[in-house]
Amino acid sequence: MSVNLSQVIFSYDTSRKARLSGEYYLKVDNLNIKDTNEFIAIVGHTGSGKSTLTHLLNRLLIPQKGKLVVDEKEVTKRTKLLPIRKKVGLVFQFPEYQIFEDTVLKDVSFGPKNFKLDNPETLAIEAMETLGIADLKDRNPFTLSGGQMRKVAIAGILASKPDILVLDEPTVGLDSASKEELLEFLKYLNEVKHISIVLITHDMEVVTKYCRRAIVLKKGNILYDGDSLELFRDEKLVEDAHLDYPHLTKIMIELKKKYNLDIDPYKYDAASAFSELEKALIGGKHE
Amino acid sequence: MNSVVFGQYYHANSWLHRLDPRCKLVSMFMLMIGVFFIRRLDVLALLFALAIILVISSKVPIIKYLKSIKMIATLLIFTFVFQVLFNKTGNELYTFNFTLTYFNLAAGILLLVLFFVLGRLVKKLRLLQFLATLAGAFSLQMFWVYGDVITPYSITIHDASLINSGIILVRVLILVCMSSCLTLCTKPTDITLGLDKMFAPLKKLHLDTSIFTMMISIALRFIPTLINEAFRILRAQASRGVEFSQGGLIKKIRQMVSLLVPMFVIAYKKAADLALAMEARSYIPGHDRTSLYLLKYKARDYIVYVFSLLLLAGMIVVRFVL
Ligand SMILES: Nc1ncnc2c1ncn2[C@@H]1O[C@H](COP(=O)(O)OP(=O)(O)OP(=O)(O)O)[C@@H](O)[C@H]1O
Ligand SMILES: [Mg+2]
Repeated sequence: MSVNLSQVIFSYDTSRKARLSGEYYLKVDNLNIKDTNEFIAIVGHTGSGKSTLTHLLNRLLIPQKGKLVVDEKEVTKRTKLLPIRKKVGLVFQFPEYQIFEDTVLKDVSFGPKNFKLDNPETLAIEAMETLGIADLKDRNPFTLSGGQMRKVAIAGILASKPDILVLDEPTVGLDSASKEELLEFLKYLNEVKHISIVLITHDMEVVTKYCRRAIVLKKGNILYDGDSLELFRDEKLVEDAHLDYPHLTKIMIELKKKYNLDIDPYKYDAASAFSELEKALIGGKHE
Repeated sequence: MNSVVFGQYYHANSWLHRLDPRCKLVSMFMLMIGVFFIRRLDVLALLFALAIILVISSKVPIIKYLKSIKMIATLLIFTFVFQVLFNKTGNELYTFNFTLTYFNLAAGILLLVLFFVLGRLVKKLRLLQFLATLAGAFSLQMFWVYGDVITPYSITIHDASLINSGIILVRVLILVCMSSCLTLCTKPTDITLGLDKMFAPLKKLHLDTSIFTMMISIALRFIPTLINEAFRILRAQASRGVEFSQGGLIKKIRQMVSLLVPMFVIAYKKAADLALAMEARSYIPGHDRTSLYLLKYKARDYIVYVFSLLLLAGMIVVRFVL
């Protein structure tokens, strides 16, 4: 099953003037996100509409034109929104600001209770265990560190068992160890629990290392939707969307240009980049 | 890009925009007081014409003013109607004779039902729709007497009460036009700056107003940000399954808590950060500071001062001498 946006046009400005001028903040011709095994990166310049796109996926924002289809059923005015909100779990940027209960456990079980799931406390503890914060359950969330709070907030979404977990720049403000830990955890969720992950990120290292599919946005338009590794082969696209190359790829491209090497610069891990370079340098004489 | 702008300020380039904020505040204040002195409809009409000239010369789209008027239109119309109907002073002017019949009653109820059904379809101009419904119901009782009579009745309009209601109406319209002129043509920050400078002499009396104006300008600065934050939290909680606008009282309270606590945390955090940042840049409450924007009176400001003083004097003369 999946979530699908088609022929969608969305604008924050609902005035008549804006409607007539045809301005929009986001336009999606067709976007399909399966609810299992996807690992998608949404990338693009600041203000390109990444957050807006994710809000459209669970009907937090309602597009002026086009339709949202969830599990083959079109979402209309009369559709109950709760099941959609549950299916597509959305973790906002700085989600720690949505915490309000006086214990961590209560806050994490807030979502499952709203969604009327059975045994919300058990679900909450389960989610906290997967994130490794079960020991914080009786703490006051406002006394936690930034990283811990972030995890509590993510657990709050995870506890409602979403099929698609959408995270808006989840690693901003975390140190590199916690960042790595969080990403590895998402990978675990994706590979073991088969939850689809949609990740907004500015970090191209993350795109190549963790994501399988990438969606590139520019000024509210989807420029690219496809394999996350193939993306960087399109030089014009990378430039057009103001994307960075992963560091390694940048070095490889520079080396290739400067010394006219016969290599494929689009290798994203150290080992394969190394062997590619080595091959070119000793010209296949390597035993 | 920011869609939520607090205050009504509309950017344009008119003489009202260029006027010194202190001059605008003081003149506006004087004229408003003056308007309360006047109890003659003809003089008020003249002042209203003056207000219209101000409105037009402000180069702000008229629709902006109409919006401010619309906000109090309901109140205005109802006070007017009640004054005219129930305040019986002066000579009789005209008597409306109505006859309530079973047929008219049914037709009236039908019109009311129609009004509510229409409300589902057309959400705009509800006030106008309501007035049309009322007018329809009453004109039926006037002109279309048909069926068994329940009771005849009449409403008499008196000239003095009509004039009194007219005075209230025009007075309020003038006040709304003038205050909108002030808020549409002056940035909120300029208003606080003006107040700051106007009350600065009070410092000699050990009354420090600069702290208050600083507080006001900070509050003004943060209102749009906080409104944006509120919407963000609203959406964040909605994605955790909160259905705002649904559920009973207890649910509503919980929804409010899930919104207010994060709001409070964010506001507190922003305030604490701002206080530190201000302190780091050596802001000491109450100490003398130089201003980035120096307010300097120009010739036009003096002209406006003199003109409004004359006007106020004129109004006092009209009230007490003539
Ligand atoms: N609540 C809102 N009201 C009006 N305009 C908005 C609102 N939220 C976002 N926008 C505008 O919509 C556009 C897209 O915003 P969006 O938040 O989706 O960008 P983004 O790609 O997530 O950027 P960032 O990387 O900075 O988070 C921007 O131009 C922004 O100014
Ligand atoms: Mg964003």
